[in-house]
Amino acid sequence: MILIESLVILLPMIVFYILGAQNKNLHPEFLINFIFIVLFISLFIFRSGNIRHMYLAFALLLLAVFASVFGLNNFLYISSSLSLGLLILGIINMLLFKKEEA
Amino acid sequence: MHILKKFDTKVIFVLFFISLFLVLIWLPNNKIIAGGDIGIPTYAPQKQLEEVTSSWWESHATGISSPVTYTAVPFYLTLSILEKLGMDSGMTQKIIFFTILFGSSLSIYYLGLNFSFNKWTSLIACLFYIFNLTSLSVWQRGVHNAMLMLLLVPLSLLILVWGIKNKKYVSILIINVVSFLLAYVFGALGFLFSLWLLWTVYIAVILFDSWSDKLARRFLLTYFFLLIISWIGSNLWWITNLLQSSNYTLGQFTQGELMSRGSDVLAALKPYHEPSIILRGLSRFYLYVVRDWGEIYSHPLFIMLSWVPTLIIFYTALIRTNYKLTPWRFLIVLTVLVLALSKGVNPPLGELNRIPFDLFQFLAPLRNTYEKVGILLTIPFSLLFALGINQIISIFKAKKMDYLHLPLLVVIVMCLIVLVWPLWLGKLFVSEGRKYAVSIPSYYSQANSWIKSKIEADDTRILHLPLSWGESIDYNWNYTGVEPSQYFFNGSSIGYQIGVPPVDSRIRDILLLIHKQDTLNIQKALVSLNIGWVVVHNETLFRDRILENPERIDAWLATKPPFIEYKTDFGPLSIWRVKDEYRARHFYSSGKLVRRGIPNPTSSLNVWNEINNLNDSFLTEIQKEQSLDKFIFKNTIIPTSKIKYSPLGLIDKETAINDIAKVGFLPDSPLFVLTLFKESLFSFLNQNDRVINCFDLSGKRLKEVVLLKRGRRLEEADKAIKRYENQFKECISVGKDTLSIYLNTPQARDLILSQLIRQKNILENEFDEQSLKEAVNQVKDILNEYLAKLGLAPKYNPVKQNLGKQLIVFDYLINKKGDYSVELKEVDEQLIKNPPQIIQIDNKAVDFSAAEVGVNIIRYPQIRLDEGFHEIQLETGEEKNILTDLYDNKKLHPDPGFTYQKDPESGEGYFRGAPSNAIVSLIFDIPNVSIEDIYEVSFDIYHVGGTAPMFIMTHDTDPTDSHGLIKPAVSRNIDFSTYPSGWRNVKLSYTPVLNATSARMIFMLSPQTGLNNPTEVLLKNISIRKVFPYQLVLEEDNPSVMPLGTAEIKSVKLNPTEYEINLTNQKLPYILIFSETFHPLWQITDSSGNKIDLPHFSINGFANGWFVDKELADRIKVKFMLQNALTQGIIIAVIFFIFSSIFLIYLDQRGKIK
Repeated sequence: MILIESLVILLPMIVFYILGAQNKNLHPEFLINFIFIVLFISLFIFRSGNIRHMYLAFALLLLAVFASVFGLNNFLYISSSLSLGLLILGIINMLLFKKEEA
Repeated sequence: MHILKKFDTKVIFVLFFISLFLVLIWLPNNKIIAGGDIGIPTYAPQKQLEEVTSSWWESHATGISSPVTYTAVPFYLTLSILEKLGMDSGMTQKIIFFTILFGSSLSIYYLGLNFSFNKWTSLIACLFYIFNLTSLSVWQRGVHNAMLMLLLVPLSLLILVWGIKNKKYVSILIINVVSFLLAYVFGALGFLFSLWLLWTVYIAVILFDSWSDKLARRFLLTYFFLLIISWIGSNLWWITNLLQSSNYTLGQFTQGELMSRGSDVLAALKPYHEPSIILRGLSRFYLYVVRDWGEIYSHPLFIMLSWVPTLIIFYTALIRTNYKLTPWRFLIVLTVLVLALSKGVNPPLGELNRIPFDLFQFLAPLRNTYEKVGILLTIPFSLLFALGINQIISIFKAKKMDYLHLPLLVVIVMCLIVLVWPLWLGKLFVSEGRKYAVSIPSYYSQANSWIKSKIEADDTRILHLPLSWGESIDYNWNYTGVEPSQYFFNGSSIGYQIGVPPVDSRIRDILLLIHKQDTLNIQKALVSLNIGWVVVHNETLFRDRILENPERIDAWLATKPPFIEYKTDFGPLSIWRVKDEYRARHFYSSGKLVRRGIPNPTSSLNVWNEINNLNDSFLTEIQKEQSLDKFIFKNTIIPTSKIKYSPLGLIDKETAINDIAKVGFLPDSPLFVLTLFKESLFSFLNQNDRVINCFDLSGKRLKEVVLLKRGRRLEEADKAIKRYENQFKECISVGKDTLSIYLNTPQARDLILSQLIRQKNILENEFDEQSLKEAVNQVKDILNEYLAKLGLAPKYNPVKQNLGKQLIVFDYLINKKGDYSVELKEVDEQLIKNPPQIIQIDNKAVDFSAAEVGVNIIRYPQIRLDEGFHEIQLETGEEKNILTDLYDNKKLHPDPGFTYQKDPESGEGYFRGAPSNAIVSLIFDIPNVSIEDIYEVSFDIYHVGGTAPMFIMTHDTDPTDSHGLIKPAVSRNIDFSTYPSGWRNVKLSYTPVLNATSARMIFMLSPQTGLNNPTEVLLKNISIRKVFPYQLVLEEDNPSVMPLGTAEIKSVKLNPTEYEINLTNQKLPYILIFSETFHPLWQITDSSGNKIDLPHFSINGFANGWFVDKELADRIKVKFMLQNALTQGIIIAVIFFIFSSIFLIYLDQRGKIK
């Protein structure tokens, strides 16, 4: 699951940067909203209490730290927004599908 | 147990001394927080207490009503008790700060223990609660509501947690008591939402986790229900006032305005609420925009450190065992909820956050969500940070990596000390770029002691000079912030613009009159404002805030204006009194009545020429009571806008159609719904600018009309025009509040203007079809009127324009159909010699020459105008070049580095500037600039080579930088990159700064260094002219005006919300004027308190007027009825509190007995 969801994050990001290199700039918010919506839908497809979103959120947060220190503002915007998005998804996942462990 | 207590005692000591240490270094000596947008709220608490217990704040200019007035009562009550115990304002503020720091950190410590954290974890949590970036922003902001919130949040949560854990209903009672003591927090209504969010989330998480336990579930639901009921009941003492006054506050705005206000502010704050900012709990504004502590927070080490707490907090989510802990679940849910709200319109799905603001106008106080809700982050961040540290140490221990303890300790110390160093070093309120802690000079209290009794006896108010444009002022005792006279002086003080447009319009008028030193009109303007005293603040630093120079004010007063007399000085304060014979008092009956069209907010009132006697009055609004019309002596309409006509950019029609938008499916296509769906989806996801996006869509709608028409599908085109019209109207509504900001932003202005110009061009040139003509004309009318109201173009295209003449376009909003005489007033001799001609009224060409020319007035024939929008176009010659004499002199004596030469071919003269090794300037001094006029600068320039020239305007009042160099008001590099070499004409519009009396125009040339391309610039035909400085005024006389009666009125002020009036010699009908800000809740009652129904309206631009056409009793009262809400609210709240307390205690006792 975590692999699939990593791809859901990585592939659109790669497309986003390829398009950017060809001067076909997309608004980063498109990318963030798109990934968030797809991952949100996948919550109900997988219906698993696995805490994968939290791992992804943490990984993206580390990328945000890196981007922040090196002044990569666009990447910081994307990674921090996605990190927050994944934390939100992680909590929704916990509340909906991880009840038995509570 | 013994060890536990010992540790607790140590923690209490540590927290006590840390709190004490911080307070002493934050506020050294006898300094108190003062300045910024908060003023000096802790100065003179007794006076503040009296003010906040009143529903009418008389001290702010002509008075204002605040819906959350009473919440501050417990705060000021506490301060005034401390003051009575002999403590000064410095000491009381220290006590407040100490209480917040000590109380909040201790609450977090016990909260940690209640959440089953160990003692060390709880200790780290409470230290992090004090030393984190969010708390740093809150303290540094200096707002007491937010500071007290830092205490109320953990304390109330601790009580709630304790109450639920021990099943004690009495905890609700304690929460109510704490809420009362800290009710000042609720003055910012956003915090109220935050507090309830915190309590609700906690109860919801506990309920979620114990849903299967029937008893626990029942207890929690009952507890929550009782909490809501008893809290609302116990707080009715201020909620009643809020609800009643909100009707009137909100009533000032239309529904559309309120909606745009809410979500537009949210959108405007987007960069400040980006996830990368809020995840770290820092303030972008203070750290990266204002940069209060310089560049240090941009250093990679600090950036890295700022992420450490967040990383540790996120790390706790990777530990599976945490998912079983209810406290962790609560803290992480709270974190996520607060972050999701705080991010505003930022992704993911930020547009969803707009919806509640657009739907529910009462959410307006929450629109800066990060400031209001984000403060809650301090709770989960501190507790999760400490938990995370604890769990990392446990892992190190389990994996036998003890050597990592030291690096971890270093990281913790760095986060708690280095990251928030301003807290430790006392750089919170005073640092290099900040000075928000000051000692108040004693001359203010001396002056107030002297003047207080006199003001009370006179029932009059003080005018403080120089007045502040807006609300801020700088004093030489290191004060910078909101004008603080209302804190220093008892009674009512006019010192700044209070944000109520009618009052601000009167204050602006005085500012302009004082600048012009127009003694006669100053005297007239002061009368209806009930100004009895004038205090000149010679301690004012006037340059940076663009205020009037106190020395100029003193020079004017030295001319001994007849209506005012000098009384005394206290330090730099100079006190003057308005003589009795020049005052109309707080209550008086009106004399002659004139009507003045809606005042232009950017100019003086222009009404004083019609006012002769002290009690003459003017109306600025159309009154519902038609009965007043027959008493109006004269109706004067001043233009709402005045523009010098220059054609909008010329573009080819086909180019306009091509460029305006790209169109896919047309409206008659079955797939058009996809277009609409795509547009709404893109608006939702893309979050492009709302206003620009709206105008772009209107362009698209218009292009659809064009394509349908060209395809001869006229019926569909007709429907499409309606769609275009609706879209355009929506853009007008969306941009209503913010468009002026866009028009001052070059890029946005270009985008919107080019869109509007294309639409205008297409509407004027594309449609000849008879069937579409009516609909097109209608929408063209809307577009043109919109452009005219923005002051961008006339509504009606000029029918003709003669060469060498300028066309001035005046717009009017006529409030009443009638025959109007047209006059140009206060004109100079040059215009008298060559009077302008009226050449167009609306879309009709006319040829009106001056019918009568007076000493300084030009009259035109009378015209008949209907109610609504009208436009008059005036043709006149060019204004005189102000530089003419200076120019001739400069030819003979050019500035160093310049020569005056003649072109051998044309014989035309020009200045040649060629700096060799230093900067050279060609300077023209312009005396007597008028701050109400716009100037047009024009010159021909030839940039032969080298560095581009710079055009600069400076003023006698411009501020200087730290090196003593003038910071010019206008500075522009002239861009030659897109022009071929040769002569070119440059035209610039220029408005003098608002305190200037003279200006200097400078062409500055710098030598080119390092390249073989020396700077050489030629200049000729340099001119500066006023843009037609006169107003074309419409006037309607009333030949059958009926005289108004009078009454002799004596008033006694019982308190700021109640006056007793004695009436004698009532000659009906008359208008009773009360010079306080108009508010519908000011009402006349008989001596037993029954309301007397009289027509009530706004008069003199801001005051209350009542039309009295039946004789009133000799003794009546004028009351601000909102004050009753306080009494009612207190009674209900006390009763409710007593009964709910008894009930809650009973519930607990019943449990014990069972």
